[in-house]
Amino acid sequence: MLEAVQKALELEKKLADINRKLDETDSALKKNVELLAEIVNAKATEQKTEQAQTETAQPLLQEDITNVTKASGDLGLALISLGTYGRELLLIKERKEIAIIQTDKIAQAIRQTDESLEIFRKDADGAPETKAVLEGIEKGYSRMKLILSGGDNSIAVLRGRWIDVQEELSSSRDDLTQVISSLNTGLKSLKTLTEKEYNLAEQDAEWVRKIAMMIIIGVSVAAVLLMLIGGSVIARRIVQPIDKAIAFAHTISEGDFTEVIELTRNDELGKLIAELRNMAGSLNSLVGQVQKSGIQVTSSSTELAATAREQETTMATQVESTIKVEKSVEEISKVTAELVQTMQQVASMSEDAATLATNSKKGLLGMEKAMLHMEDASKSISGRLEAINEKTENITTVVTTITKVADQTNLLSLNAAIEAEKAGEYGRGFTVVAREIRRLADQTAVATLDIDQMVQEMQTAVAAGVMEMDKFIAEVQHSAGDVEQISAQLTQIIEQVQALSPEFENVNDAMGNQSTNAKKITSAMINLSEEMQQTKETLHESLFAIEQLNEAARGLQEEVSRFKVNTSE
Amino acid sequence: MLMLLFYLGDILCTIKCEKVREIAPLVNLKTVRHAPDYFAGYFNYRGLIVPVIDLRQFIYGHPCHKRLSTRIILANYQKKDSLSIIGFMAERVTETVMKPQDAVLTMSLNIRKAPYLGNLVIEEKEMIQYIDLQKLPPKLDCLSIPEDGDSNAAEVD
Repeated sequence: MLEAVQKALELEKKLADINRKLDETDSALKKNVELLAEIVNAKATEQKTEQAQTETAQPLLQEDITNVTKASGDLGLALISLGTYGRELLLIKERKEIAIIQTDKIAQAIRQTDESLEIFRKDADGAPETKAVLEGIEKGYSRMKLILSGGDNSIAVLRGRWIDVQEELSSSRDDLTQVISSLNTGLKSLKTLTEKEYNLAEQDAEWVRKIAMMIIIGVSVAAVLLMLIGGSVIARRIVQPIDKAIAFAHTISEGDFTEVIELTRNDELGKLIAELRNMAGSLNSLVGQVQKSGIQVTSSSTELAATAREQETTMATQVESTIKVEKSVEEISKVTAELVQTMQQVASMSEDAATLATNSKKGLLGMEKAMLHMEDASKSISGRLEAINEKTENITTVVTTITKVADQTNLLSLNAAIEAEKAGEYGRGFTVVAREIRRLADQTAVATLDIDQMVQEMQTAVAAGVMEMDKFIAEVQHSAGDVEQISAQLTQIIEQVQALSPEFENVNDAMGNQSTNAKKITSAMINLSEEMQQTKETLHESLFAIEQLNEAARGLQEEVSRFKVNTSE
Repeated sequence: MLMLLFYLGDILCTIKCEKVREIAPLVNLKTVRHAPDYFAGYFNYRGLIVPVIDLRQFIYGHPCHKRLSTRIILANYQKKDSLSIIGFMAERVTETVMKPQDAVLTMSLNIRKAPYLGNLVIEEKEMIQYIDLQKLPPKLDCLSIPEDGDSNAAEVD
């Protein structure tokens, strides 16, 4: 059996190996065949193009090409079919089929391949690439052939062997099944035997159990009797003192610490009672202490509660006051801010006023200068007018002279005419001359009269001008004085305003400081108020806690007052 | 005939130039106290003391304005053997005019108190008062001019 199995395993391994080889060669062959087909196709297209160029028909060549193409297709097909047949062989389970495949299909495929290869060998002598591919194909093909049919290691032979081994295996398996069925019958007879034995043993066990039951009942009755006797003895020795102790403990548990237990014995119970008495004593002192403390705690907590309430009310009033203060401070801050603004405005206005006053002072200085100029100019004009007046007086004297001369001429001419008349006929010509002279004198007199009139008009005009000028000068002087006065006043104003400006700045700074301080105060007040509120809440909470504490203390006191305490100790 | 034109106030007057010795300018006159108001004063004419009559004051009762054209007409009066000169002060004595002998028209009116104002001269439709110097001196009671020095003798000269 084992050998057969080992053989089968070996064969499987070999078959897998061959299968792998077959796959490899198959893929190699496929690749080569594809290469070949490509080359053939390329050549075919080349040939076709050449043909189109030369235009000379070469039907033979064309036939060759088609043959080659077809052969390549056949070769590819045959090789692929070889691969598939090889795989089929691997899957075959009966000997007859192996023979059929080997003889019919594989042989046919080989034949086809051979034919196609032959065609290629014939046709593709020239191209070295094709030759190489063909050699590759041939190599793969021979390997494939070897794998498929040749030698001991071929698939067909191996598969045949494998099938033999399988048959061997199946026969040995039949033997094994026979052995197992005989084993099964043996086991069944063994089982019936054991069941008989089990029944016998059970009967024995039932008997033994009855005897044991009887023994147990007897022993237990004796034990109960013994225990009753011993218990009465023990009760007299132990239970009485324990009862005493219990009663004592009970009184203690009810809170009476005045009870005293007597110590009579010296054994474990005595010790227990002593310990109990000690415990009662210490409890007594403890509870007494607790009562005192409870009273103290209660009074303190009541005091605390009262104080807390007072504090809370105080806190509430404080919070209100702080809120009021906060509001006032806010108002102060607002007012201060407004004041600061107003002060700034006033400061800027005063600065403006100062600049304006300075400007006007400059203007006034210019005006003063102009006034002085005007005064000078009008004085000079007045002087000129005076000069004109003098000149006109000179003219008047000249005119008077001329008038006198004209008058004398007239007189002369008159006398001449009279003398000529006296001369009679001889003086006739002279009379004419005298008349002409007189006429000239008359004209001169008239002209001088005109001049005199003009001069007089001029004189009056000049006099009026001089008067006006004098008046004007007086006015100018007055105005100059006014201007000087105004200038002085303006100077005073400027000085005052300039003196005022830094004061304004100081005030402004102070106001700004105050404003910032007020803001700070406001924020501080807000903080304070918040803190007060928090404190108030905390106080409230603490008051609540204190009340709770009070209640707890009262409860504790009540609880503790249940205990009667021996105060003498 | 040469005639001298002058004004007495607004009134144009004229005299014949035959008796006129010279026309002198107005100078400072030596006045005399208690003399009639038409007596303007004495005038020193080249060493001769000549009395001057304010003609306007004499005829119209107003004194002459003291102007440059106010002048003294010196007239000759022939005594028996001596020549007497009287000055007449008049205004605007600046013009002479030539007239024929018959230009002096005699009016029918004969004023006893003032016989020297009886004639007129026509000059361009304007009537000019003619003053007869010959008939004037007898009416000057302050002057010791002889009555007999008539106009005829004067005219003859």
